[in-house]
Amino acid sequence: MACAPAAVISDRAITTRADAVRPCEIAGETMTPDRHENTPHILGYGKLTAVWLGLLALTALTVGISRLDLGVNRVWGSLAIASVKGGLVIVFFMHMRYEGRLLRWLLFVALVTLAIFIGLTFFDVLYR
Amino acid sequence: MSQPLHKDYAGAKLGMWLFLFTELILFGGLFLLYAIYLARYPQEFTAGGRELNVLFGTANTVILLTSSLLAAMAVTAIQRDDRRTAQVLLWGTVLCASVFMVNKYLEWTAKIGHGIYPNSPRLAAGPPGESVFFSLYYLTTGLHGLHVLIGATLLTCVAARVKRGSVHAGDYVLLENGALYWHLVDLIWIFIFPLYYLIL
Repeated sequence: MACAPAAVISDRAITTRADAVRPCEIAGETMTPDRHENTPHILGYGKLTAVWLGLLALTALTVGISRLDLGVNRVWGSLAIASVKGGLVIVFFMHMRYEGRLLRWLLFVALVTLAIFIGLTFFDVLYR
Repeated sequence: MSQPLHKDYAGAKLGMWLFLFTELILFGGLFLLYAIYLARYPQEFTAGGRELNVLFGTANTVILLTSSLLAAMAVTAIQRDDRRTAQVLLWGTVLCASVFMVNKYLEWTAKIGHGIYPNSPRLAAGPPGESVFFSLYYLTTGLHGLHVLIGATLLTCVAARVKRGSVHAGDYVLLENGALYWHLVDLIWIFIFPLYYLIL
């Protein structure tokens, strides 16, 4: 879905075909030109609802776990569940699964940057 | 001659994602502050966390997850050229946002009624860890609430444009980016919820 169909169609109407596919290449689109020309990936209502049900189940799980006496594991368990939920939102609701390489790498870089921030700060704070 | 027709969808979406990354880093900083003060004042944070209402937190989580589903469905609807459904779904998202804000209002009012607000006499007299916890609570949920308001306003504008017909199956990047913003608001809450309401 890095390339909406109208952009390609309107570009193609006025420029050469090679020009029309260039925006997709910039976006790191990996699909073949034939596919993304007419099909932005459409997620069906059913699939979105299934993801939503998964998110609700994970919410119930994380609330349930918080009632148990697990000590420090409760923190890591809750964060692990939150990460899975966040992953579901990014991958399906935010369509990351159907994006090209550029956006995926940028997301990776952003998350690594965040991890470095948090990791190095703790390195300082814990061993001060 | 081709200028007025040219729309850079990939660029529009890339720009939105870059903005969302700065938002992640912004809230990441607040989560980092939380983690460090939790390590320094574990007892006070636990006492503070017990004051928060898990029921409000859980209800708001379910509301935001549902609103995110509706926003994602609105994108599907517009891709299928179903402008009417897209509109209804967007209004549903905005309705969820309003309910979320009403809950937040009730929650904050109850806290303030108990004398818990930044620099309140009760917090000023208590241990420093407690006031740090509630300062962070108000800052994080307040900034998130501001994002909810902005997102709801944005999606209202998008819904109006869908109705007018300037956002349609051939040109819907505004709806897509609005939905991306809304999912980010949901994503942030997914982490706020366990950190403030559950693990303490």
